Amino acid sequence: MNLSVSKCAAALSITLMLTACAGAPGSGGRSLPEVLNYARQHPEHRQANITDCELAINKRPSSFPFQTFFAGFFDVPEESGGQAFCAALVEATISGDFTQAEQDVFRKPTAIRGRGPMGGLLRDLIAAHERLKSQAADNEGTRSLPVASAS
Amino acid sequence: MREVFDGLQSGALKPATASERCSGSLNTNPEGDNLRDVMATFLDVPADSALPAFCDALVIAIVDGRLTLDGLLQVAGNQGSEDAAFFEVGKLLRAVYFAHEPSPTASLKGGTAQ
Repeated sequence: MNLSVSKCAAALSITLMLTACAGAPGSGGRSLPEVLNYARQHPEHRQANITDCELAINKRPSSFPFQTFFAGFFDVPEESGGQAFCAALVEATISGDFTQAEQDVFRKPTAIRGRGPMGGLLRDLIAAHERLKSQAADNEGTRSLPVASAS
Repeated sequence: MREVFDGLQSGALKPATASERCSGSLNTNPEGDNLRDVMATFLDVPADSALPAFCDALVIAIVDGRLTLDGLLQVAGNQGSEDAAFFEVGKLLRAVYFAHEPSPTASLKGGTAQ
């Protein structure tokens, strides 16, 4: 069991490689690090950042089944795994949980940075996802509250 | 795996015993160091407590019924496709996280979600 967990973490590290080369030059889209840097500067563009994150992830060739892993991790339908990952990553970035320094650590090879940063990122992601879920539920509850009639 | 799972489910195996076996097994596994590093930061515990914390949480998740035997066997690579195993690894990590931190809000750092 532990073998698969660490394999998964390794695959994630590779896939997420938050390096400048994560996006193909001239491909029109932003690389994942660029998306996150922009999200820190422009948190008001949250949805655009999430969309760009999905584009960056989808164009990056990887054998790691991203959607599948995050569907299990976030307890969402498989087709929503990538979207949930990007929403959580952008939330963790905007909130300051996933800092620039933490992001920059991923530029280093796994052999140097170790596995610790991946565990920390996964922790930030699950906290961010739960926070978004809670806020969505609160908003839903607010919307469904009976509106008091003005008298 | 099956024996431990069934023992925990039936109550024949004490959770503390199962957790100790789990830690012992991981400590002697070549991949144990990698898992320790990931779990120390994922569960926010000191490195030397990471494997016991992981095992404790795993056992709690099994006892609470958050993980199935089929799912665990897929994680262990004993059955199912690799894709299915990745789904189960994600599910396992989630279950371990919430078993370790029973109150989700306790782990929620101040965010600015809009």
